[in-house]
Amino acid sequence: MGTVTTVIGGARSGKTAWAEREALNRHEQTGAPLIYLASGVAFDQEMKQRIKRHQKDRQDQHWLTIEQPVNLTDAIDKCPEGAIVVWDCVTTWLTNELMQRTEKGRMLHDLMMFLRTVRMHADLYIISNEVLSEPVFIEGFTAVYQRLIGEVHQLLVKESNYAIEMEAGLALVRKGGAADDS
Amino acid sequence: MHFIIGGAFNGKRKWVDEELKPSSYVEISEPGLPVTEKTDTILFTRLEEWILSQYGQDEDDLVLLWKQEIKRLIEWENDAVQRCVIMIGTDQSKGIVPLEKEQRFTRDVLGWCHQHTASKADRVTRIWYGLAEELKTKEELR
Repeated sequence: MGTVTTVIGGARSGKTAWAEREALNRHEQTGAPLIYLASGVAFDQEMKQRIKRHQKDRQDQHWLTIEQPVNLTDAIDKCPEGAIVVWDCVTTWLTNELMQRTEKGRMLHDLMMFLRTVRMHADLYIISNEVLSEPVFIEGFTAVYQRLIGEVHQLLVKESNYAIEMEAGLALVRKGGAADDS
Repeated sequence: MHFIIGGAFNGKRKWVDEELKPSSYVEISEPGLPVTEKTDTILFTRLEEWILSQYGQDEDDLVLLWKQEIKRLIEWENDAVQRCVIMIGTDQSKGIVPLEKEQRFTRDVLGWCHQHTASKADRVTRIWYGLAEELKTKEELR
């Protein structure tokens, strides 16, 4: 049985770097394969550059990248036994699914299925963006998105062994820290 | 008074229901509404909606109104031992400055009201996706 760690933080707060570092440490201890599960799609130049930046950060290391913008459950079989998986990130996956008009029930089902199956045989680091500390939208796509991401984050924190809030590169352990262990 | 603060859709009310377990409460969302004798718990919610509805008024006047409301609710609470005021605040303070003037107005006034609420509260709890963090407890006041 693996562990699940959820990392939530603002843009450029160092979420991905932290998760990758943790994963790499674990990899050095156990030699388990490193998987980078990417949900971002390069639909414009800016996104291409963002992806390049993250790819550059991972070069010289032994990462296998799996691209999974939608249909998360398809990634289950691609994660080898005993692997360390970094999923980057929940917010882009949710955007991609919503753009395809996937139903909410299906999204939540896919997410739980993915999480509960992968954790049986791998360690999972889940990265997501903090987007709910500003005024909420009353209607439209963003309103639907905000409500849904709030629900998803609550679910992830509940399911996770560890939950981290990222502030300016500092990992604040909200769940699973030393206090919870004792 | 117990102040619960956190971002939208973070599970604040769920936490109140599950952890504080008020047997019954009267919910108000507007300052000055009459408070009934029949309940032991007042739950104040959606302050941001009331502030938005007051757009156009003087910001300082609104904060003053809020301070009076806090005073009134604390006095009600102090009238009987079993009484309790629970205030739920939705944090809007950490995003980009909103484009719309109404939203900036609401965000500013809400921030000032939350500061005052926290300073007067016996207990302040922050909710982060269902997890609670105590920011202030009665012990620290002594």
